[in-house]
Amino acid sequence: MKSPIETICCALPYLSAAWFAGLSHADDIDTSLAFEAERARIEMIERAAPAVVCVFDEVQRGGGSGVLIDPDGYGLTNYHVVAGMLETRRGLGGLSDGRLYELEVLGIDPTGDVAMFRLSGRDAFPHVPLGDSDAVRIGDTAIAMGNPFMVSEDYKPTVTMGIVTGVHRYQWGQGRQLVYSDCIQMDTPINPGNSGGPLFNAAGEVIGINGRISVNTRGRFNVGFGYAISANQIKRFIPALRAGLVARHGTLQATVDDIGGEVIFDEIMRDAPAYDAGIRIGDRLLSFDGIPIRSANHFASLLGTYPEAWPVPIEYARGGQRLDTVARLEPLSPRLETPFEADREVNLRQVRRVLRTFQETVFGAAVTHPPEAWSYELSRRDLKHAKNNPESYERYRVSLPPRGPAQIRRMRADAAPGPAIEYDATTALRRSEDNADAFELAPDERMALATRYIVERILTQPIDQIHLSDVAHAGGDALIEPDHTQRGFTRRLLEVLEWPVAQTAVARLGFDANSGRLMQAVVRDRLAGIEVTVRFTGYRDVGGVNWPCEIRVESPGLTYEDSISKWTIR
Amino acid sequence: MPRLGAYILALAAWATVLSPAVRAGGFDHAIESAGIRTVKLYGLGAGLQAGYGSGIIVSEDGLVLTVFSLLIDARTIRATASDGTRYEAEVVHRDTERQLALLKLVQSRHPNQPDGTIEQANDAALRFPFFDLSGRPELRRGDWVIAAGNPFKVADGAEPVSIAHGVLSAKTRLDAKRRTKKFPYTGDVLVIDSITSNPGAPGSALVNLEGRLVGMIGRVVISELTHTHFNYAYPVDVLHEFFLEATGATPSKPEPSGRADEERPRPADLGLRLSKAGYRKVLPFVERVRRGSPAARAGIRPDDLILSINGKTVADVEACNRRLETLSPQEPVVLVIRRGRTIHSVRIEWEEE
Amino acid sequence: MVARRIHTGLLVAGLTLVCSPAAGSDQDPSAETSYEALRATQEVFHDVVEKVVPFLVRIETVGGSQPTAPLPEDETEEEKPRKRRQHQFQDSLGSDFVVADGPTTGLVYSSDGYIITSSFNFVREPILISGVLPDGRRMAADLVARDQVRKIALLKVEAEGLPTPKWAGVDDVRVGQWAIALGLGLGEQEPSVSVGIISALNRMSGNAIQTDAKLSPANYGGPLCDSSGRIVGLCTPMAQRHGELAGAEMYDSGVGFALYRERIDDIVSVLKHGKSFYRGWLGISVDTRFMEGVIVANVAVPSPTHSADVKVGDRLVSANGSPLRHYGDLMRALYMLPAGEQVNLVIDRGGKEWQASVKLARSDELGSLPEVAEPFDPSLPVPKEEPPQP
Repeated sequence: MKSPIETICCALPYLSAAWFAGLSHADDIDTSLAFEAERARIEMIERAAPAVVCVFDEVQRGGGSGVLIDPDGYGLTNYHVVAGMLETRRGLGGLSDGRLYELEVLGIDPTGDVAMFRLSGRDAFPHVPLGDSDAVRIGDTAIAMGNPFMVSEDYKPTVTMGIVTGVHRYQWGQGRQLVYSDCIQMDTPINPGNSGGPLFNAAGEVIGINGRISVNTRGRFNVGFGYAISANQIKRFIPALRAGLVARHGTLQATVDDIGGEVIFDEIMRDAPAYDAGIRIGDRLLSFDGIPIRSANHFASLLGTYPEAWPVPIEYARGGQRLDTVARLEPLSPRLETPFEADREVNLRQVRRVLRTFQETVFGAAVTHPPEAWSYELSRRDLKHAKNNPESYERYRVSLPPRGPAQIRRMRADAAPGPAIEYDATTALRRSEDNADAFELAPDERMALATRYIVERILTQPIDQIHLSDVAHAGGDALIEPDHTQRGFTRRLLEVLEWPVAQTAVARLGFDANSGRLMQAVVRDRLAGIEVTVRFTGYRDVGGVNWPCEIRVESPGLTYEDSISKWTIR
Repeated sequence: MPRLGAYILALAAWATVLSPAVRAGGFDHAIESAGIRTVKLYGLGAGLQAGYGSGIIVSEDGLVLTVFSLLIDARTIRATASDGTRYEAEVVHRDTERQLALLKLVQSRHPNQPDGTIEQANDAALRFPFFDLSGRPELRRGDWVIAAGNPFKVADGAEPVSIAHGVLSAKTRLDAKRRTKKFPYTGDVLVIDSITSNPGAPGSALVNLEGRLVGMIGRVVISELTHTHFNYAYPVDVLHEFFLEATGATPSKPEPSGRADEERPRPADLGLRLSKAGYRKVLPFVERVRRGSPAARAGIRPDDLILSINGKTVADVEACNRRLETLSPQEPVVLVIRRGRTIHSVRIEWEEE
Repeated sequence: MVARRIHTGLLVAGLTLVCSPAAGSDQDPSAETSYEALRATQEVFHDVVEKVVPFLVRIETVGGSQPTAPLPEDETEEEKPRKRRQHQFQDSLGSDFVVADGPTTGLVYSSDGYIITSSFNFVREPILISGVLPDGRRMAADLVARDQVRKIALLKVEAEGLPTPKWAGVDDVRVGQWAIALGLGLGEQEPSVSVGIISALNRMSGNAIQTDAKLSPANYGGPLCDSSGRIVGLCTPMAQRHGELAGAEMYDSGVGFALYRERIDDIVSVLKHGKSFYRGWLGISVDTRFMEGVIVANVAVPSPTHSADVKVGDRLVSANGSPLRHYGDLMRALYMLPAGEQVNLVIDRGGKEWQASVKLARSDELGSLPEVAEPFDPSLPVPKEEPPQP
C-alpha cells in the first residue's frame, strides 16, 4: 500500500472548479466590443472630470463635491454641503488641474438640497452640460464623480461606475434629512464626500447631483443605494440659484389619494392654485406637466420638483369629461436654520449677465455705443375692437431720438402723420397735433408703452450705463407654448428681471434662459390693480439687429398685435 | 448559445409587450425578467429585523420562494406583485436549516385597501410569470448578474423593484454567523460583488445577463472567513431541492427540531486528541493518536500541527475541534499538517476497524 | 395579463433562433452599453481570471490573535488634556475592524519564490505561515519583512522557476478602465472576482491607485488587473491616517486602493533585506484646542523634534512644502511616511520662521513627554474627540 503521506502537489492538484463551467472562450463573442466600450468610457471621463469640483470650507476641514456647468465658474452642489459655510458664504474649490480656487456660495435651494456656487481666479473654466433626466432609464450607465472620504489630494475626482437602479423615486426625509423628490436611484458607489457631485450618463451629461445614500448597520458606507437629485428639477431652479436667491418650491395646495386605481383630488384649499385653475374635489388627476400620474405617491414626488409661481399644465377628468388647465403654484417656504439674505452684488451680477446675453443675441455683442436714433413703422391689428375684420389694421410710425422720450404717431389714411404720443419708462402723454394740450393715457396703454421704452431705449444702452439700482433678478419662470410634442406643449425657462415702470408698476421681464431673448414682460400695477402682458416674438434681422418684430399686448382693456417694418437705425 | 434561444426570444417578446419604447441598455432584459417575477413582501419586523422583504415567484399559480425571517412568522404576510397587485401570502413550508421558506400567494381578503393599491378583482385562477427552477444556467465567475428585490423598501406599489448589478464572484460553502450565532446553512452559495447584505434584500432574485435565475439572495450574515458582511445567493439547485421537498415531490429531510445538537449523529471519530491548555487560542497540535484509528493508519503522529481540514484553515484547537465534529464517515478527509519544517497533506480513509 | 400567456407559450415552443435583444435600438449606440458589449465584457473578465490565476498564492496562517488597541481609561474632561500630553506614543491599528482567521491572498513577485501581499494579513502576528502555490504545492513561507505604513508584506517560499505576472506601470493606467480584483480569501481553489473601474490615480500621497471594485479581506493582498490581464496594483486597505488596519472598515464601499507597481518595486527592494518599515513619529503632541494653526503642545525627550530644537508653543507652518493650516493637514502630510524618512518643517516661533529637517522616528525610539506647565488659556474649549498624535 502506498504511503498515505505524500507531497502536497500530488494530493491537492490544481483543480479548475467543477461547479463553474470551464473558462473556455465562447467563439461567437467579439471581445473588441468590450474594449470599445471601455475606451469610450475613458474618453468620456477625461472630458468630464476637469469640471468636477472638490468643495471645501475655508480651512479645508470638511467638504463635499460639486460640478461646473458653465465657463464662468458657476457650479452646482448640495445645500447640505454649503450649509455650514453660509456665515461667510466663502469656501474653496479644487479642480483636477491641482489648483484651489476661491468659492462663493450664491443661491440655495434648501428644499431640493441644491446650492449654486461660483469659482473665481481663472478664465474659461471647464464645464459639462446638464442632460435630460427624464430620458434616464433603469439599467443605464451611471458614473459618479466627487471626493468621497476626501481622499483626493490633487483635487482629481474619484470616478465610480454603476447603473441606474430606479427612476422617479421618492425618499422621505427622516430627522434632519431632506425629502428627495423624483430622484434617480443608482448602485454606483457614492460615499460621504460625494455629496454635491455629478452623476453622469454614458454620454457625459449630468443627469443628477448625488446627495443621499441608504446605509445598513455597518455605518456610513455605500451599500449600493445612492440617490441623485434629477437634473430636470435643478434646471428649473437655476435662474434663482444664479441670482443668489433662496429658491422656493411650489405647491398646488391640494392633495390627491389613490382610490380604486385612480388618483382623485380629495382636498383642495380655498384660494388654492388648483381651485383657481378650476379643479374641484372628486376630479380625477390624469396628468401633471404632461406626465401621466400613476399614483398619489408619484404625484407628490413630481410636485416636489417645481418652483413657486410655476405654470403647470394639468389634465384632469370630471365624470366622462377630460379637462385641461394651467395652474400657477403657490410658494412653500423652506425650513432654514439661519436666515438667508440675498446678496445684492450677486443678484446684480446676474442682472448684468442676463442683459449682456440679451444684447449679444440682439446686437451680436454687448453694446458699447448705443444706437443714435432709430425709427420704424408698425402695423397694428386691434384684436379687441376689430375681432371680426382681420383686414383692418392701423399704421404707426415710431421714432426714438437721441435723447428724450420716444414718439409714436398714427398715420392717417392720406399718409399724413396724426397726433403724437410721447412715452418713456415712467409716463406716456398724448399730445394733439398743434397745441401742447396733453392728457394722460389709460393706465394699461401707458404700461405697455413704458415697457416698450425700457426695451427699445434702456436695454440698448451699454450695460455699465444702465441705471440698475431698482432692478432685481427675481429668479425663474416658465412660458408654456402649445406644440405638437408628446406632451402637447413646450416649456421655455425664463430668467426674470423686475424693472420699475410707469411710476407705480413693476415689469417682470422674462428672458429665455437658453437663447437670451426677451420673451415677455408682465407689468403689474398693484395700485391700479391692472396687469398687462407684452409678448415679444418674431425675432428677425433688421439692419444687423436681431429684433422682436411681433409684439402682442394684452390687458383687460387692450388686445393688439404690432408688426414692425421699415426699420432704420443710425 | 442556441439552448438559450427560446428564452431570449421569450424575453424579447415580453419587452415589446411591456414597454412600448425599445431601449438600448444591455441589462434591460435581465432587469425586466427579474422584476416581473419578484414580489415585495411586508409583515412583521422587530429590532434590526426588517418588516419587509423580497421573494421570487417559482410557479404559475403563485408559489413564492423567500428566506426564513421574522416576516414569515407574521400572522398575515402581504405581497405586492410587479404590477402593483396586492396579495396575501401563506406559508406552505419552511426549513430552518437551509433558512428557506415557500409561500403561496392568495387573493387578498381585504379589498379596498386604504392606500389604494389595486386589488385582484376577478375570481379566475391566479397566473403569474415565474422562474423555472429546473433550469441550470451555465455559470462562470465574472458573469454579469442583476439582483432584483425590495431592499430598503425604496419601491412602493407598482413601482419597479430596486435592482443592483455586479458579477458572480465565486462559489463557496457558506461559513457565517448571524450576530453571535452560527448560521445554520453551510451549503453551497454564489458570492457576488454587489452589496446585497441589506435589510429587505434577502429573497431577491439573482439573474444572469440572459434573465435566467441563477440564485436567490440569502439572509444578512457575517462571514467567518473574512469577518465582513457577506453578499451571497443560494444557487438554483439548492432552491430546486427545497422546492421539490416543500411541494411534496421528494421527501423532505428531517427537520432538526429544537435542540439540534442532541439529535445530531455522533461525529465520525478520527481517533485524534489535540493538545489542551488553559488559554483560549491554542495551536492545534496533535497530542495523542489512538492506535488503529483512521488517523493512526494514515500516519498522523503526536506533535503534528494541523493546518487545515478539507481545505479549511483551522487557526486553533477550538476551530479544529469544531471542524472535526462536522466530518462525515462517508467522505475521505484531507488534513494538511506541518511536521517540523515540512508540510504534508494526509488523506484519511474511513475503513472499518 | 396578455403578456403572461405569451411568455408561457414561447417557452413551450422551444424556438432555437437567437434573438439579439439590443437589435432595433434607435438610441445612440455609443452612449449606452449594449447587450453584445456586456457579453463581450464577461468574456474579457473570464480571460483575465484565466491569465492571472497562475500567479495567485493562498496564504494560510496559524496562531496569533486579534490585536486590540489600548483604549484610554475613562477620564474627566479636565484630566484629558493633561493625560494626553503624558500619553506615550503608541502605534495604533487605525481601525476597529476585526480580522478573521480565514486564508488570504498573495501574488508571485519573482520566480525565485518572493511573494507580495498586504501587511493587513499579518496584523495578528501569526506563528506560522504557509502558502499554497498556483501549482498546488503547499509550502512553509517566511515573512521576510513588511511595511506597516504602505501596507505591503514580503514572503519567501523555497521555490524556483515560479511564473511571474505581467505588470502595467502607473503611466499605462487610465481612469475609467476596467479594474478586476482577484483574491483567495474565501478559501476556494479558484479566486473570487470583483469588478469595477479605476477611480483615480496618484492617491495616498502618490502611492496608490483607487478603484471602485469591491475590495475586502477576500482580496486584500491580491492583484488589481486591467482588462488585458496585466497587474496594475496590489489591493490593500488604506486610509489617510496611520494604522495597519486603517481603511479596512471601508471594505466593499466602492472606495478601495491598490499600491502601484513602481512603489511596490521600491519598497520590496528594501524589504528583501529583511528591513521592515514602521510608522514615523515626530515626537510631539499638538494642541488641538485651536481650530487653526498647528501649535506644538509638548515635545518628547528624546525625539527627532527635540533634537531639532522644536519647542512648546512653536507653530508648524509647513511640512515637506505642504502648508499646515490645522492638525488634519499635518496628519495628511505624514501618514504615508515611515520612520527614517526626512521631513522638512517650516516652524514659526514668535513671528520668525525657520527651517528644520527632521528624521521620523519609530515609536520605541521616543522618550516620554515631559510634564509641562499649562501654556495656553485654559478657558479655550477642549475638542471632544481625541485625535491620534503625530
